[in-house]
Amino acid sequence: MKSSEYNEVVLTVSDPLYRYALKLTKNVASAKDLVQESFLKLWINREKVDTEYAKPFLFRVLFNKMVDDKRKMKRIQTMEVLPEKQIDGRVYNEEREIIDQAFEQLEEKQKKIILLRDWNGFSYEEIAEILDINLNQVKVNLFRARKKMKSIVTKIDSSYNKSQR
Amino acid sequence: MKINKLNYENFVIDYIEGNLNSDQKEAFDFFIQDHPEVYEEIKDFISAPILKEDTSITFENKKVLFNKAPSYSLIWVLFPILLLGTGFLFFNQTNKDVEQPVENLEINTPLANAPKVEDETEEFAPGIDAIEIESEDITVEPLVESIAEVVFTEPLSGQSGHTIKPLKVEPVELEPAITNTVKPEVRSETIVVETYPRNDAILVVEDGVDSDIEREALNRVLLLVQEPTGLSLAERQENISMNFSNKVILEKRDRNWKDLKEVFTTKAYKY
Repeated sequence: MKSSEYNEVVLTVSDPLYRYALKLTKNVASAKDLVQESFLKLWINREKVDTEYAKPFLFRVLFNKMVDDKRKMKRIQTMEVLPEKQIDGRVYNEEREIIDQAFEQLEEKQKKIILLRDWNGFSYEEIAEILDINLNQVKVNLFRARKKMKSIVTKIDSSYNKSQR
Repeated sequence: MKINKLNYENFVIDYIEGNLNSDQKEAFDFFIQDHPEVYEEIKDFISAPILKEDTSITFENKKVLFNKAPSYSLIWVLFPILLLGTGFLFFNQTNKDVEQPVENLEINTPLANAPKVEDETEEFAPGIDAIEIESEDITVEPLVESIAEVVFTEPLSGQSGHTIKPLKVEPVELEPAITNTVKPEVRSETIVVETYPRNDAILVVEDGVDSDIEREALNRVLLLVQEPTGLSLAERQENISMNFSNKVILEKRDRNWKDLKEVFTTKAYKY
């Protein structure tokens, strides 16, 4: 990858990578660090990584870094975590909030798969590569995640409707 | 292929997306007929809400991610300048007698204090024992610091003041990446410095390091690492917050700043 191509990747991938990190960590500083470290790794490996694989490469690095950080965080619980409903100073509308609540109840692996698929359009094969799991696990988890989201949203909706009556 | 309650999830997405072969599809159809609850699950899957991406959230400080290093094209511009400059220096010194008191000679090079070299006149100007320089306030500095170092020879004791012998210009190769592992003798700490020809830098210090020390270390390391780029001190300081690509890793264990500074000062020119 040439320098100019690297810079192009920064322009196109840094935002979705940051949103992915922020959604999973809920911590602005951590998300920024993760993005910076991922791009550093890409820069160091730029000779080995083709431009077309830069995006999955970055997500893979970020995922691995998150796993490492999580291990560390089990030892040091000092991170400042933002309230769920207010990330980066934005207030969510009601529908988005409900879907967000449903999303938060998913398992970690399911969250990652949903974000990689729905936000970033990765193929099942790419998701398997990024998360280092097999293809069947990706599909099964995606299936379960969507079912679960549907079920939770339905429940929230019905309890909201009851309270309105 | 037998599809049952235990393995149907492996096929369901491919079934929905039409990726099963005809045998598998037929088997799945039969399975759904026997298990209507799975049909409901499929309906839930299809109608599940999609988490919307908030595209207004962006990574603001992209400049820290960009490659700040000069491109190789710059090197190709600088290289001819070096050649011309070297030729010019050599021409001047072999065609002019120069008288120059050594105490007036201003030497702006990192190697100003380098050990004196024995008489090497023969190697660079065969047949000439000594060259005298007549300019009054010559400033000798490497034209392109990144690819040349200037080594000064022993001054001669001339009849009318001091003279110096020809300069020896030693090319320094630009290498793709160099890793220096410095292990101070007394302490157990290790400093790993990786630099890259494009002069990016990053400083990673372990958790718990005092932020003042971290900032000072970053300053010091960048000033040293970037010295060959030809940037002025002010430019280097201005770029400190942005230059996060040269990879400089400090492993700090029970270290104080004085020792750190000493190590980097000592090793600065060996990258």
